[in-house]
Amino acid sequence: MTNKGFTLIELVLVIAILGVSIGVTTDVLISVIRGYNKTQVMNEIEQQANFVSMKIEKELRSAKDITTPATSGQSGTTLVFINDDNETITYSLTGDILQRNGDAVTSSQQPSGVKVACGSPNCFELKGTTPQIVRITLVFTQASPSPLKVFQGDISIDSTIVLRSTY
Amino acid sequence: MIKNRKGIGLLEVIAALGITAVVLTSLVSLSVFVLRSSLRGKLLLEGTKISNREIELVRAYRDQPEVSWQAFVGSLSGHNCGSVHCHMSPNGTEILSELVIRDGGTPQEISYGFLYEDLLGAGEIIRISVEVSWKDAGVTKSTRIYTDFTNWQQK
Repeated sequence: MTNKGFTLIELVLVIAILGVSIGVTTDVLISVIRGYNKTQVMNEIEQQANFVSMKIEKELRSAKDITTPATSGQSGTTLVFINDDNETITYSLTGDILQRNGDAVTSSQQPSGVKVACGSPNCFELKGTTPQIVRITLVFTQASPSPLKVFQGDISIDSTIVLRSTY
Repeated sequence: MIKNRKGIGLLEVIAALGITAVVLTSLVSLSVFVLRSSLRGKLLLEGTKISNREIELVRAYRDQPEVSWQAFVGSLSGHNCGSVHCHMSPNGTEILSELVIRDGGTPQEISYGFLYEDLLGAGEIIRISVEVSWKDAGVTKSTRIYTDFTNWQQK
């Protein structure tokens, strides 16, 4: 019968190797879970951004006249236009909420709310007058604050719309 | 007292240096790759924005009340947009038959234009493909977005 056991060095080595492999596995697992969460967050923001951009684009294409911004090259956080039913529609960015005629279009309430900010140069820019061309640049970020960078994300929309009836 | 006078052999030092060099090189190339990818992503996004704007201008040009479908198609063929890249004037009022080159001669050079294709040969379905090209580390990259237009308003 042999009485030889493991030496201390062997034991320490085995523990070290085990530690490293467990560490690597945990790291991979965590990054997969974080990636999944990040995708969820980005999907949520993208849905809101798409909804807002489609809504504004649809209304603007059939609008009759833009009153604010008034001159070509001018930009601001407010967009005022006359729609095809001759109603005055105002889109404005108040704080981090986009409003349409005073009613919020986006919500910054958690958990799925978004904050809206202007892109560069500004939210609504009039690029031309005959026809009227508007460039909309908005940046959407998730409203729920997170200390971890993987749970943060932003989606920016940059679209140019020509008012069909202003040729 | 017994002193351990054994040092590290030359072979060991060379092996250690070799391993360090391999690790460092792979780390540097990984970071260069990440930076390149991020730049590529940014440029692709910019290219997509330009394409979308150009398509919106063409669509608005087609939609104007006083321009008939025949006039729209005639304007495209009149400007030879089937073989020469065309672009919309920035104010959206006319088609110009030339490629736009922005920041020409600089590393930030971006060029764009669109071509049209009569899909059925009968002027019923017109494909507009916008092509945006830029230089990335000396290599020309491009993106192409196309949309098919029809005379859905029967004008």
